[in-house]
Formats: sequence, C-alpha cells, structure tokens
Amino acid sequence: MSDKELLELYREEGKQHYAFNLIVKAYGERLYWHLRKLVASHDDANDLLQNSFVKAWDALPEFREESRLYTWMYRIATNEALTFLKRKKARAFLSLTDYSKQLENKLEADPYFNGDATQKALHKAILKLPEKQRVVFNMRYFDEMKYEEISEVLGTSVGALKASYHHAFQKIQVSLQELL
Amino acid sequence: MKQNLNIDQPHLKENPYTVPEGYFSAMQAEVSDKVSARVQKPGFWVLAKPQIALVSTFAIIFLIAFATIKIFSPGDESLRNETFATGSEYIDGHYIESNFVDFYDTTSDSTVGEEQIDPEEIVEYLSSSTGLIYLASLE
Repeated sequence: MSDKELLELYREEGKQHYAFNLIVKAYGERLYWHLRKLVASHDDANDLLQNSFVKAWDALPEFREESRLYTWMYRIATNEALTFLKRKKARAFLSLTDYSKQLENKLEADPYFNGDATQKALHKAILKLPEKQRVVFNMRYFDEMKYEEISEVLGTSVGALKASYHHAFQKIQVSLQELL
Repeated sequence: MKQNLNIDQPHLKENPYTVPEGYFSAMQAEVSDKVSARVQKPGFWVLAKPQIALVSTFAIIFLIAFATIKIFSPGDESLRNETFATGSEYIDGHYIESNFVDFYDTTSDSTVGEEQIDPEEIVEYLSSSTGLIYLASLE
C-alpha cells in the first residue's frame, strides 16, 4: 500500500488505528535498523522506535503531506535518536567517561551482532563519529538514500551533506586502519 | 601490520545486527497497545475547518447581498437625497400645520378652520335635526 493510500485510510472514520498499524508494519523494520546502527544497542533502539511511533501517532493529525510519509517518519526517529545520544553524551561527560567508548563496549558485548571482524571494526568506527555525521554516513552508506532525501529528513543543504559524508568517510578509513 | 581497507566492499554494507526471534511482530503489537491507550487530539485544521467554512459562507452571503443592493438600487445618490429633502420639507411646512382637507386641496387658499360660524345657526341646525338624531338612536 502506498503512503497516499495509507493516509487516505487513516483519514477514514474509525480506521485510524488500523491504518496506523499498517504504517508501523510498513516502516517499523526499516526505522529499527536505522536506529540500531545509530545507538548500537537493541534495547535502546527498541525504546527509541516505540517512542518515535507514539510521537508519530500524536502528530499524524497535523501531518500536511508537505513531505513524504516515510521521510517524515525518518525525521521523527532521527530526532529521537539525536536527542537520546546528546543526553547520554552529556551524562557521560558529567561522569567523566567517553560515551563513544561506552558504545564500542556495548557493540563488543552485543549478543545480537553477527558480523565478522571487519564489519565489527567498521561499526566501531561509525560509532566514533559525531552524531550528525553518523546519521548522514548511515543514511548514505547503508540505506543508500539520495542526498536530496537526506536533506529532506535532516533539513540540511545537499552541499553540507556531501561535505559531511566526505569527512565521515575519511575518518572511518583512518579508524579502520587503526582498528585492523 | 596495518592494512588498507576499501569500505566500498559490498559485504561491509550488509547488516550485521540481528534481533531476538519474533521481535518485529511483538514490537508492532506493543506499539499498537501503546497507541490504543492514547487519545488522539484532533489537529488544528480539523478543528478550524468548520469554523473557517462557516465564516466564509457568511462572508459570501454578505457580499452577494451587498452586490445585489448596489446593482439594483438607483445610481444617482444626490437626486435621491433631494427627493427625501423635498418630502420632509413638505411634511414640516404644510402637512403638520394643515388639516386633512387642505392636505389634498393644495390649491385652496382658505381652510375650514378659518370660517366663522354663527352660534345661533348651530342651535337652529341642532333643533331642526333632533328628529333625525332620535330616529337614528332607535335603530
């Protein structure tokens, strides 16, 4: 079912919950992986995903279709993840610990990580990136989104996104050389 | 020894993360439960739309009525004012001061009120008409 059909169904009297369940089914998995790659931990990704959907449910009556539904959902989930990471980083700063090191340790101990050593090294390198750069890198590298789509989600110019991706790519190359 | 790795290798783009079995179905059910417990507030447009429609309808009706009056009313405003002034002057100057008769008989120079009737003539008239008055009262 297309976004338009989902929204039309949502606007029908008494079909809101049914339509929203279809939206969750359509985007749940994709958004989960997006969040998981940002925060590494399954539990954190699950909490963020559920919060994102609850926020989307609350905000859906205001959705004016100025952007596509999936872009809008991505934006909610990304903002949720960025707020979460900032909060964690601030707490880590107060307790004089390195949050990216904490994320690396989480990844090391994660029972739901099946990658090989190179993949682990790549994901550790990604977790070392600044939050926004990490978002840009993941969306471009893993989700293979166009810069225009990323720009729609993050509200950043295409030029700035290209520069951000280029910097992230270089940092990861350097990190991988150190890790491997 | 450090090695140079090309991160554009397709296998690196594969997703190495996994989830507990049945996670996505459980997640959908959990989200559905959370959402069912929440009362969705209607959006601003949902609330404002009927009000805006009502105001617009009144505005359109008012404009149509205004335009109709404007189109079908006489165009010469000064002539209409003059007519009203003439009418009002006539009422002030003649009608209030005059009686019913001279209201219609505008050419007449004298009024009924100005005629002098001799009191003796009145007495004579009444005494001669007594019979008629009596007969009228019997009916």
